[in-house]
Amino acid sequence: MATIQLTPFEERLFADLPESAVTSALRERGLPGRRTETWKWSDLRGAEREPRQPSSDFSAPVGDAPIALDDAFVLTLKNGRPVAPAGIEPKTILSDGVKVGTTYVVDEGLIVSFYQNGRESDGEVQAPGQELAGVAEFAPLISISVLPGFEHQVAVRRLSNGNGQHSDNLFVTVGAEGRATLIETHEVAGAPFVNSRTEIELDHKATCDRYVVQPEAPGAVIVHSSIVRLDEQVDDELARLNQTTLALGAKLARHETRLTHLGESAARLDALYRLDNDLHTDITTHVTFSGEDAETDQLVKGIGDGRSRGVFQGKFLVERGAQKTDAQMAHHALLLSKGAQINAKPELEIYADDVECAHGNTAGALDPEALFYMRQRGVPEEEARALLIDAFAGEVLQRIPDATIRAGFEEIFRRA
Amino acid sequence: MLNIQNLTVTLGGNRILDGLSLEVPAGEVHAIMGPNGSGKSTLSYTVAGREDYTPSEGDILLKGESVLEMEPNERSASGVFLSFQQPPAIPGVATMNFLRTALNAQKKARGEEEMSSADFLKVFREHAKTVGLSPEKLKRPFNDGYSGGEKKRMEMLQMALFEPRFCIMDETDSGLDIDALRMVGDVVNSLRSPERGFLVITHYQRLLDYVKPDRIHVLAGGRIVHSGGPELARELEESGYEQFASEAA
Repeated sequence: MATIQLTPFEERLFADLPESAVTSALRERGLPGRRTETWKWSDLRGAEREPRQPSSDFSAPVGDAPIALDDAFVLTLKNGRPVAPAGIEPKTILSDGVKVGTTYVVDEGLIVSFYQNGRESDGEVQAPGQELAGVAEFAPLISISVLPGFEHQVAVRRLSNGNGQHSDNLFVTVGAEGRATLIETHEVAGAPFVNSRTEIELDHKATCDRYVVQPEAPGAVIVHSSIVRLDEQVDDELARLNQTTLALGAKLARHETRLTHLGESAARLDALYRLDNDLHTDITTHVTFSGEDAETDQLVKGIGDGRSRGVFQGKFLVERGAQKTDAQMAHHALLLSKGAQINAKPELEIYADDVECAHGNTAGALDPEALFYMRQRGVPEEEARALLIDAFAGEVLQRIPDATIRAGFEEIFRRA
Repeated sequence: MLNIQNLTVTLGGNRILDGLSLEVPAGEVHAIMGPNGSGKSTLSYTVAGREDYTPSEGDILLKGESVLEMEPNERSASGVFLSFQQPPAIPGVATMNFLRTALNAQKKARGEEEMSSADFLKVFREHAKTVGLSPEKLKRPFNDGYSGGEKKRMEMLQMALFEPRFCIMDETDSGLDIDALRMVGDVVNSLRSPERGFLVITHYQRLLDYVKPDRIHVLAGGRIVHSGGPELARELEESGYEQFASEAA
């Protein structure tokens, strides 16, 4: 493969990575950008050219999380580095007699571990477009385990500031018949480059209600790669992922989820984005159906104002033998200004013949009929627009089953 | 009350209203009848202030005050109510929340005290009963999944709720059965008062069996070509608009 000329940003970023096949591949390819098919509307390579130092220690005071649950265990990451849970005795993790990390039994059935290194660095070389997930995999591994049969709420607060770069590498497992509510918030100030990774494994009969919230971060570049595997059903009980992402834009933001149904299992992969000014957000999902009878239901909605740019790329890959797959994808965008732009690419690739797959994609302005009607009834224009925008977004938010979290999402959305 | 003077409106290069003049005094019900494409709906949108329906000539006065510089919501607050020919559904917008927002926005604009949720609910339920909309239907988003007839009932519910000074009813009778027509008549008749005026736009005479007009005007070619008493409706029903349409040419 012809080696490309690396940008100063790439040179600096790759210099700290251990030598491995992955690193060699990164040096050959560089980071994804507009010439990469899956990144053509999110030109990361073009946006990041100047070298960035690793982020320094996060020293700012910590405010309230944009969304919180009373009973959740809160894990805080400051510029990528985890903060030890307070008041819990650490235990050393040894491998061949050498310390490799620290573990905390946070609660019965909930274990959090911080490793000194990332996952096996001679791992698989990522497909084009997934280079940043590969970079994040070198960051020290943080693992959260909800043990079989337990139910826990976990909030992961990713606090970032400054103008350096950092990655984080989170691995979440939910054991058989376990249930995890996972709230991940990006709380970003300043202009850092944040490269996050969340890998989730759901054992059979396990459920994860996952919420990703990224408030507006005008100076920052945020890439969050999520890799999810859903185990096959047992006794007709399915592993389930219920995911809702709320993204309010950054200088460049990419929220990518790669989900694999290993067999009969169910996923809801919703997202809502709202952008103003020059903000950008990219919602990319890739769902692989490897076994029979799996189900994905996806509703993504976006609102663009100012000169913002929204991107939705959704792909369903139904492999040979994945019969009875039921996959629904919908993306609807609302454009509030002439300068706002939405790019959408829904894609179905199907190698099985007995499946139900559908996708729908629309983009348009606020309904002028409805707007005039509401004004005729006495509602001032701005208020009528707000009611219509809330109604548009409401379809996604109403799918959040938990009333407290739904109210929290509504509040963040309305403030935007 | 409503005084339309020499109104000219051009849409897409076509002169739809061509020097239309009309006066509806307070306390009266006037009907406008006319063939398709004569400008009936353009007239109602122009009075309500819809975007692009800006007159190139003429004026519209409500109680002596021009409404032309007012936003649609300001016209609404000053008392103009339009019962839409084809009311839209507004998915995702809760009916009661929308109507309470609308009513209180009008009250606020007029400097009146806003209505509490409890008071609103009481009044709202009463009117819902009058127009025959079930509580189940009203729990849905605004007009969502409503039939054409139910949407017209919703228009009448709002007319009763907002108690506007001047009501324009744009083909409220289309798509309604006899029982619904009677309901429309009941709502209008209960609202009739010396301070309130009505402009009823219709194709047919049958609504006028329930809503007795004081005057009937024939609209053709963008202007009022003939006016008369209530007896004119039956005459039009029998002999058509042809005789008057030629007057407009």
